[in-house]
Amino acid sequence: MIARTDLPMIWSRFKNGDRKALESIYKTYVNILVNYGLKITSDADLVKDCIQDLFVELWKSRQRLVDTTDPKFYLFRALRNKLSRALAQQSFVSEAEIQLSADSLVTGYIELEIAAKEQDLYTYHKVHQLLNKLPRRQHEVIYLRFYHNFSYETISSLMNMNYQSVLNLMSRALKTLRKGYQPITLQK
Amino acid sequence: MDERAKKINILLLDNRFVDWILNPQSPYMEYWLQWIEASIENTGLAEEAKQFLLELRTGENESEKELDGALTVQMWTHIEHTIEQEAVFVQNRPRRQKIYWLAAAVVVGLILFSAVILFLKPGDTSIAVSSAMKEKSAAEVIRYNGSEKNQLFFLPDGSKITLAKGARISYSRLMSGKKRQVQLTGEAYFDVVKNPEKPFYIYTPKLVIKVLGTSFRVSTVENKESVAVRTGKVSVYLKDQDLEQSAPKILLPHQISTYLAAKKELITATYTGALKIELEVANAPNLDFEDAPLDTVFKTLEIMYAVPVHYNANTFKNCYISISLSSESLEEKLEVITKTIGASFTINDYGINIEGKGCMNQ
Repeated sequence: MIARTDLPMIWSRFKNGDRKALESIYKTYVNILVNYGLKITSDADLVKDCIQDLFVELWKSRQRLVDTTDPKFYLFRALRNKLSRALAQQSFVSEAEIQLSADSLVTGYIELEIAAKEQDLYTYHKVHQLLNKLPRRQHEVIYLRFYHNFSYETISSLMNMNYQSVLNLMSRALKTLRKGYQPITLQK
Repeated sequence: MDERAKKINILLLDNRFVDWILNPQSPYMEYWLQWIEASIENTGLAEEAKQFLLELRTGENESEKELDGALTVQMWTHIEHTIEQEAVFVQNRPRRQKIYWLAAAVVVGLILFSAVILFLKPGDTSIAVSSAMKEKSAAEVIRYNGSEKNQLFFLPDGSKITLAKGARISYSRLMSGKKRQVQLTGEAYFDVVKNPEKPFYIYTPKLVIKVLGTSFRVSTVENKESVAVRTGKVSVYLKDQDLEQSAPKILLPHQISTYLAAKKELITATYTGALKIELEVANAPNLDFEDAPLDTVFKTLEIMYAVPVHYNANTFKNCYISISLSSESLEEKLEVITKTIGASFTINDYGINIEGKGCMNQ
């Protein structure tokens, strides 16, 4: 792992052709990239392949990269683009369409289900189950905003959606989550 | 959802709030501490929102997987191997490199000032009605997007503008004169109708942008200003430059120019991918009229162009028209309309006058 303060230095060493620097970037980010990839698809092999390609391409285009203090956004965005393309090719349906249908279908169902279970769900351990039941893109927004502290603007660029749609997606996710959630302090 | 839940969601949808919770060095700390002190209700809301957020984080953390060390090594070996193999063949390969890393970099740039937009309350937006426009007409129109969404506006020359939330433009009502001139604060997307005889100028607090006809985005937020070109050609001047004498920055499609206040210069870069703001065609008014009373047609135009239309409602009460209008200028539209009802029109700075004999009762 690289300390945050060393990142700009490592990044510029990598840009100048230092393979060891690329390796430390890889080691720093591979874990969160895999985790992020798995939020987008459960196909772990595809995630693995895309990450490998990503680093190969990163190396090839190193001279044209700009300086950065935090490559996380680049890496997330590149991974997401790769996965989206791969998934779209697999299904012959555009990613947007998949998301659209998946979202509208699942949301209603989840809300019903959560409402039914509302009584049981009161421990915070259940929060992660709630999260995993969210439609994929809703979960992704929660993950990017609350886990990685990406701003909504950054998320909209990452997910290739307009800003308002990101907020709408988040609102829906929050609404669903809050239905199933009860603060610990209210537990009997 | 009850009121309280709504208020908590508003906090969670606020970048500044989330940043304060997650980032120990958050620049918003003071702001939120004050906000919390402001009332007991605020204290409770912030506490609950914070707890909810942190529990979601814990939930995420539980599903975060730690990668198997052997797999990490194996993946890296594969990467290194591929890099070395490709290095051998690199000379024989056609150039087909991907440049979206660079695109990502530019997008980061875009985001930065959009982020600033978000932090501006509409009330804080300074209304820089500057001195750039020398003759200030009494009939100046100010159009402002006070809604939450991007909004489409029409200019009398047929150009279209999407204003981001809180953005405002002003111009002389009919854009008469040798130039088409617009002043802008905030972020906007322009689709300018081509007219080489009447160049189109945009004045922002720091820049002057000159175009003949094209589409592009302009963003001015505090001292961060930028111009991104979609189609056509755009000239960008610094405001203290002499417009006729000095060389402008010429921007071509997919270029973005950003003004750096500290250095007082323009930096140009390339971008790919979409702009954050585009022409909002969704809320465009319907301009297909079928057997519509003249009144309806004029009302639509009045709203579209913020220009009053004066006519004798009684004279024209029997006029019904079927007409399909699109991206013509206001004048062209008026010509088509008045022709179909055998009327004529005159334009001055205060609006449009329609004269005619009216229509026969059918």
